[in-house]
Amino acid sequence: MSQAELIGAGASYRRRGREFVALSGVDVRIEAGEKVGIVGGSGSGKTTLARLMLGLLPPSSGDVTFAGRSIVGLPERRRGWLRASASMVFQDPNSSLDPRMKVGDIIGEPLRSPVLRDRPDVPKLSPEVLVQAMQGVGLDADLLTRYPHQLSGGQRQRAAIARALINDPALLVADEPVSALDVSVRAQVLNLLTAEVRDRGLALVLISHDLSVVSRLCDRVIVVERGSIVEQGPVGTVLTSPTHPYTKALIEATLTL
Amino acid sequence: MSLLEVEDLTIRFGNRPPAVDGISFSVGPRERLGIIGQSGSGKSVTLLAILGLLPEHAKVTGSIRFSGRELIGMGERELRGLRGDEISMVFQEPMTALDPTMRVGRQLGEVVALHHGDRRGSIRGQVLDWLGKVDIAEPQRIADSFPHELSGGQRQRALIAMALANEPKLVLCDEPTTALDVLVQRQILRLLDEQLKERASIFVSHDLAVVREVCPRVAVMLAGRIVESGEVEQIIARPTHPYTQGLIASARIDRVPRDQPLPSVADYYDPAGGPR
Repeated sequence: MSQAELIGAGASYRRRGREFVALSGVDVRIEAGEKVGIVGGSGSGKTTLARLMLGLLPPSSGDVTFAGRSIVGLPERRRGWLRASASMVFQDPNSSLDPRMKVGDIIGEPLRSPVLRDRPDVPKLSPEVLVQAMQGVGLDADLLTRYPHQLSGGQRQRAAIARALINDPALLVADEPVSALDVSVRAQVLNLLTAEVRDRGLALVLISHDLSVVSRLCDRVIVVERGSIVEQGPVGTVLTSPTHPYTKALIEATLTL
Repeated sequence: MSLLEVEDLTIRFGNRPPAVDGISFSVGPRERLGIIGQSGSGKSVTLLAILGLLPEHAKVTGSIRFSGRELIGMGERELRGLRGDEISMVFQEPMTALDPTMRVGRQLGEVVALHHGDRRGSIRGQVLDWLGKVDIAEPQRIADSFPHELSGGQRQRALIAMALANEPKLVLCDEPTTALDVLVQRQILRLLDEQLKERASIFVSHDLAVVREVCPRVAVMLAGRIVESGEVEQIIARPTHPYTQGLIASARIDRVPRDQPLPSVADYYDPAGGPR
């Protein structure tokens, strides 16, 4: 049984009154514990793909399943089982963390959610759980009473990761988790993600346009261009001998030191 | 002679440690200088000081001479004459740097009209001309669009056109590609490389790999000071300051085997105690 699967999935938005197809006929299967990178330029549809996978956006066609069950058409109150086992880390911790909430309230919020708080598979919210969550991502427990603006960029992204992991998910979707961070803190956050994914046996879907980050964290890579998958395979194979011109262009444009 | 000479520049906000602490550098009329450093290192504040855009409570000492004129202490009126005309800036986030309520063409025209009231009649032509020069495919349509209707790359191109429209002598670029994906980043770096050829420029970034694409010379800033400067290739090959060594090591993600943790700047340089 797959952890998450998109079957012929499509997504479209209305833009200036016209229909805009963001994703069409996409098949993606993520096995339990598998680490998959989704790469593409801006506007390629990679973030839409992640949003479909987590039920944050309904597909306009096709099906989306999680742990073998379809999530399409389910109201939010009946998605507790999905929310309990899938989490997301967003690109920019400045906008993904509520500026008016303290760090402790932010990272504990998933456990207070009405769809999660009574579930046996989700830990109960307690001060100890919060302290553990902070320590797990290398943050001092003193920061629990601070507001996001009192943290550095790297600390904020660590807090966002703590929030994503506090419900002990089986799948973590990370959308450009380090691209808003300084080069100097990027390495630390990548080390943290690597360790957490390994130690927890998480399935990881990493969305990025940075191929060095994807090859560091993922085993398999899917290349998306203009709403369709143009190439996929093991990271080593795709990045060393790409077949599609778009993949080649992405590799060629990646700057290294 | 240098076009821009910065000497012993120090910038303080209140009683906190100085944001910029006695830095000196110079930029020749056709020279490009890269400044790298992490957030809070003082690199963006330095650019704002050159433009005279620091908030009033900032205490600025030292000297910034541009074409022989001292900019520190220069009156707002005189500064306004320089800004956007002789010195201009390309900002990091084009979505916040552009006015969301004004069509792109009008914003671009405003920069020209502000400094060259005499050219009023032919501004539309100049605007379209500049949009073409920054490789925007349909200048007419883009000029009549609002910023939110453009892609990130188009917005950054429009911003570059705005910065270049008055043929400034000095262009300041603050992380001009950080918000873009690698494909668009490459296009924008090529465009800047071409458009900045006949001018002086300062290019600020946290990413040495980006700076290397456009600047032959680089200064490394840390906690308000320049800790190392020189030829970019030489610094990448043989960094002398432990902070620079850490910066380079941590950026080389692809060189570390997957079962080993990535080195971070903190492994090389401890902000509290200096080198490790």
